Amino acid sequence: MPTPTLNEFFKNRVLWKVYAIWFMRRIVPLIVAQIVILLIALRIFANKVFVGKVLENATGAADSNLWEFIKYIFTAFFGTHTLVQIAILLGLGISSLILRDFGRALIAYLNTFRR
Amino acid sequence: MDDKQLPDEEVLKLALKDPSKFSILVEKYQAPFLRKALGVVRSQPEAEDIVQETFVKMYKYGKNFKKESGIEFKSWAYKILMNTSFTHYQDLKKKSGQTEYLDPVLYDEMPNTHGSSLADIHDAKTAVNSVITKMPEHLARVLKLYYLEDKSYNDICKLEKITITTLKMRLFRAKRLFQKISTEV
Repeated sequence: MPTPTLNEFFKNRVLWKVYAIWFMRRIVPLIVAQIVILLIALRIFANKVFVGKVLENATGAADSNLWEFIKYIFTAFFGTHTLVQIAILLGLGISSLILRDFGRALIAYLNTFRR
Repeated sequence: MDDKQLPDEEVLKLALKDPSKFSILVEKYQAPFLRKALGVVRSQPEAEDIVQETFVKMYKYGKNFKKESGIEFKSWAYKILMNTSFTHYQDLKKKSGQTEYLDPVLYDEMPNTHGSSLADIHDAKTAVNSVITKMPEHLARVLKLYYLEDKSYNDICKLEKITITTLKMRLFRAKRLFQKISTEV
């Protein structure tokens, strides 16, 4: 008597559901928390910094050369409020964590359905 | 060390962090699960649904599984399978109104009166019988008559010499007790 097995379609459905549970449990709460923190950081940044003027100055600095542009970025960063500095660092950190978690989710997805 | 050689509970633990590892358990248990489910519902699509649901439940409640002496992963997994199969079997009966028989090997033999270890419960008949034997006799009897022997309410009332209301109440209590005992086993 041949051994009964689930066909690939059903096996993939099981793995898809398992992946969805994992995603909802491990990735969604992290990303939601990170997005909330990122929004707070962006709000602080937007309240304290006149973004249009910074971009205008950055364009001016970029026009001369790359070194001037980098110098401008650092001068602007160190010349600003501590709170804004923290918000920028927090924003960058959280953005990289969000990217990392999306990467993890993508890799897990590919591994789950790789044959 | 190859993940496939790890004990099942370790694989489950890994799968909770990386869902791709769960395919190891699916590969390993799909055939025996399907055979067992087919023994209960005797329909390939239904059995496949049961197996799918079982795997999903195993993953969902995987963090609750703790390996202790006498509690094997296999027993735990088969207990989920049997509970799921039993629920499907009841639903099938309700939906179709037709007679759906459990595989005779599941219930024909004498109940195992000795306290069976959890490791043995993966055998379906032991699982069902071990639960039923732990129930008070009058409740076990109505449960067997109604679900396993497929007798009608009227027949059972005549056999037991009780009213339909009493029978319904007993069945309700018996089902609740069955669920309670099977989760404790």
